[in-house]
Amino acid sequence: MQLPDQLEFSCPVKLLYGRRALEHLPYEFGARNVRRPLLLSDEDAVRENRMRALTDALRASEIELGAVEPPAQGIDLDLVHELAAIYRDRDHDALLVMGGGALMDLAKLVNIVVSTGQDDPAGFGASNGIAQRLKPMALIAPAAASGGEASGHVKADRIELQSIHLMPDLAVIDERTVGAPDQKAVLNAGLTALAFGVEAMLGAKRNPMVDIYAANAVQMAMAALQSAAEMPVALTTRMLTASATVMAGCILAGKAPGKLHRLGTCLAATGRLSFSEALGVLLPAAVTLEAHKHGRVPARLLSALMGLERSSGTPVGQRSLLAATALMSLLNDLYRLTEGRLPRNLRDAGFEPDDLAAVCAAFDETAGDGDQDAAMVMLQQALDGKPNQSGC
Amino acid sequence: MHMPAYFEYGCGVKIVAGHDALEHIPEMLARLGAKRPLIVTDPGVAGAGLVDILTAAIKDRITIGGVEDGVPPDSSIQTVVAIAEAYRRQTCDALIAIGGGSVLDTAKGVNILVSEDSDDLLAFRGSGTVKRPLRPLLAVPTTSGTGSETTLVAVIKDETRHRKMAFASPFLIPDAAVLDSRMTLNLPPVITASTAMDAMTHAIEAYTCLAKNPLSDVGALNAVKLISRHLPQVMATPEDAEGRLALALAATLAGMAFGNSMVGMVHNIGHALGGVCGVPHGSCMAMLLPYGLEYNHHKNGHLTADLLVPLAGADTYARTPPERRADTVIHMIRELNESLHQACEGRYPRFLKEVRNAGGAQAVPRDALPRVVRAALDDAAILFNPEDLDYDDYILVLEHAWDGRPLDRSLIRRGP
Amino acid sequence: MALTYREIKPGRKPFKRTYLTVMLWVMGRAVQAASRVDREVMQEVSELPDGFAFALGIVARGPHMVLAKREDGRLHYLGQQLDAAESPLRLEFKHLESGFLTFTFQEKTPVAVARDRLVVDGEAAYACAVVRILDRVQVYLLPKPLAKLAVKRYPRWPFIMKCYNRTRIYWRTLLGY
Ligand SMILES: [Fe+2]
Repeated sequence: MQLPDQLEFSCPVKLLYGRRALEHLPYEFGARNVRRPLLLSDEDAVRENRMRALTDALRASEIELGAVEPPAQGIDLDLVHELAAIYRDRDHDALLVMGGGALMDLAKLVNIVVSTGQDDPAGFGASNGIAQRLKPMALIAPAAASGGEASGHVKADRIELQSIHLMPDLAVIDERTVGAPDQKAVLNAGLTALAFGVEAMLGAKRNPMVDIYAANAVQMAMAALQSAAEMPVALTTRMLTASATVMAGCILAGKAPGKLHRLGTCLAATGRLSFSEALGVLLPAAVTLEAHKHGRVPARLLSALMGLERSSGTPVGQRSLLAATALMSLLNDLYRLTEGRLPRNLRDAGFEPDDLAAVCAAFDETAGDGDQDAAMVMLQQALDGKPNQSGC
Repeated sequence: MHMPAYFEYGCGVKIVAGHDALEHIPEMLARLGAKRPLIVTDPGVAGAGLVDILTAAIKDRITIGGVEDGVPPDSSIQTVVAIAEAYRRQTCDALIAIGGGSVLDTAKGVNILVSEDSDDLLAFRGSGTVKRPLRPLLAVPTTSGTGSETTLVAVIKDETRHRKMAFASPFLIPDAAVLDSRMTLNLPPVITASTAMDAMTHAIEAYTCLAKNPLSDVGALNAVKLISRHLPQVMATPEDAEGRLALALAATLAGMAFGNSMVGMVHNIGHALGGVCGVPHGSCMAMLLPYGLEYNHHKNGHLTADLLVPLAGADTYARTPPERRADTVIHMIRELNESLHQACEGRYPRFLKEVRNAGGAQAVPRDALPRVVRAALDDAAILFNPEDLDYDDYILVLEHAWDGRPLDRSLIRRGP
Repeated sequence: MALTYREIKPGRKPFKRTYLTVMLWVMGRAVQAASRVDREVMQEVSELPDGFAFALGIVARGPHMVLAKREDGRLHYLGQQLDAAESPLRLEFKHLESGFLTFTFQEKTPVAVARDRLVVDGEAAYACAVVRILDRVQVYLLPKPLAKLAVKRYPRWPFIMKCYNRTRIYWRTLLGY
């Protein structure tokens, strides 16, 4: 493993995974002096019995819960302030979130307001403006996740913030709260986590600490995606998906998103495919491109993708081809499984060669770091999903 | 991927590593709202000039409130109270602990007292008693071994009652661990080798014992790989700063792994051997590691087998028949011990009978083994070992380790 | 916008609590009995300091079994209240549910330890002795298939000794002497 000369790593999230994980919450709350968390949950929590599982787990403990179900549609500052007022008036001392996506963004904004006393979270600036520790926050993670829940990012209503302090202190993955078997959600979450993991393991000099989360995002997402064909989606598949997305959040942490992530955002902005689908079709190209640039793909990535037994006999020179092939055959399987709804390449999503330049230009605007050549190569390869041995 | 039905994983410490990582300290403290750190260390570290390197790296950009360099080898309440007093006298607002485990434990204790504004450390003992964030604390390790910079516990001795007291709380985790290659550049060969083997043992026990989980597994495998690749290089070229930094990172990775997944019988017996015969911890680990893997083989041989990848590479793993992989791993660890023994010109012991104390006498006489066993029976690391050991089992393992013979596996008792 | 706010106060789990209360009572009296019957347990107890006390149970206000070593060199069962002894060594499950998993043999004791379900508060050396005593008592108390779930390595004891001591421990557990 090549090491960087300079390395920084931080991940304050403690993961509680598996059987009766919720029952460990009171102990963890107690250790952080939390007695009265405010629960934000989504509207399905009661119907899906997740609420009952949570209250059951908190029984026979000293934890008193206040619960609200914020409306699902968009986040605005009025809602943030209303929740902050409840938090203060009812004397809460932590935030507990059961659900994913926008609900977690909302909770992060509420936390900024109640912890700093500043009414406008946007005032902290986009990057690392928050200097202080915030109130304890716990996430009860669902399988239907966006991948950003455990990260230090918030993006909502013209506000975009990143800070390590926005990451939850606890991420709980429990069989009873991982959510209903929704195949589409599992596929999306799995692809996102897979892409976050693969991107973090590529590059000439890896960070061996981030590797812990990256390798696990890859192996958990692969295991989940490969068994997503089962209907209804099995409990273990959903558990793996949920933890893969927590890994994804830990990889992103408070850092700026990487190249693959940004290019995926630009592709999704065309409206022809979702962010997760965009990441999926870009993945094989990302691996090939990286291998071309640095000459090799790490053995750990290959074993995370295919398992140690199958990957260990591969010579260094063949690793990138094998990794890209494993990803392509995964996409092909998912295409068949979803009867063509999940694209294998950009053509499946309706792109033509002429469309790529516009995406590339949009990508350039997001960073302007001279990466647009690499972006174009990735887009061209992703158009037909062909492995490109030459790299260009 | 090994998914237990339930596991927990977390590591709250921020890691900052590099060849000039110390220079980042002033801005890190500024972000934490601190202006006047107290430096806590021991006479050995100060005498080796490491505190001077630290102060030179930061003094232009931050006011150092004071340097307390009197931490004894076993941190004690008395020392903690005295240093807390100094902290207050010099109106400090943060702590930098530079040194090994006892320095850091002392600094954690000091941090409890100064943050809670108390003089009664006993009131905060036990698990979860410290319930709120403390003052900023940075850890600067000076050996690549213990991994204590990543843990949420502190062990401090109560001299009046002759007891060791444990403190555990998520708030005891240092705010950051600063790994700088200059801190270990001048470590003597024996210390370099044995502390690296301590880290190796943390990683291997975390990977092969009962509390393993998929996150600590990746950290452990990465640590084993970094150590097996860089330790021989650093032994041959001690001024290899890249290698030194790699070993420091490996030790921290291993610390993160065992902080979550604990250790097993190698540490269990090693703690006893250290306590009874005064053998340095790292040497105990190196000598006992092959025996721990042999003794547990019937329970976790398939996990030991996986270690062949980081130790020898994926090609060797693929070439070796599955049933021979664990044995190859154990054999490679013995060979590594052998080569470190040679690199240290015999001052790195391979077997218990070879260990000499400062006066040159045998440190572990054979008739001391029963006393070692009685101490091992009182050490909690055994809880996480895959197989149980009673008195006779310990004697079996220790006698083999004393002679330096591989463990005769037909003599290991298994359950019905 | 009107958000509905609900308070959820902690409740109890009467069934599981009762089950654990009974199990801890049986276990506590069995340990007391074993410290009078089994030679190895007697040996372990003799090495503990006089006045030593320990409690096994559930954190916070959950049920416990509290035992202490008295002048006669034996362990005495002091009941279920934590304050029955002065600052006992505590082995506690983090949640009623975790204790329930172990005491219904769904999760081996060493596995519960490995899974971070238990917290130990006190001197580690004594905790090791207590774990060995509890292991031995479980082998006496439980039928072999269940005891195998409770300990790492089921011991090979002489058949006669096991039957004889087991009967004595059963009787003493019931009668409490
Ligand atoms: Fe160690």
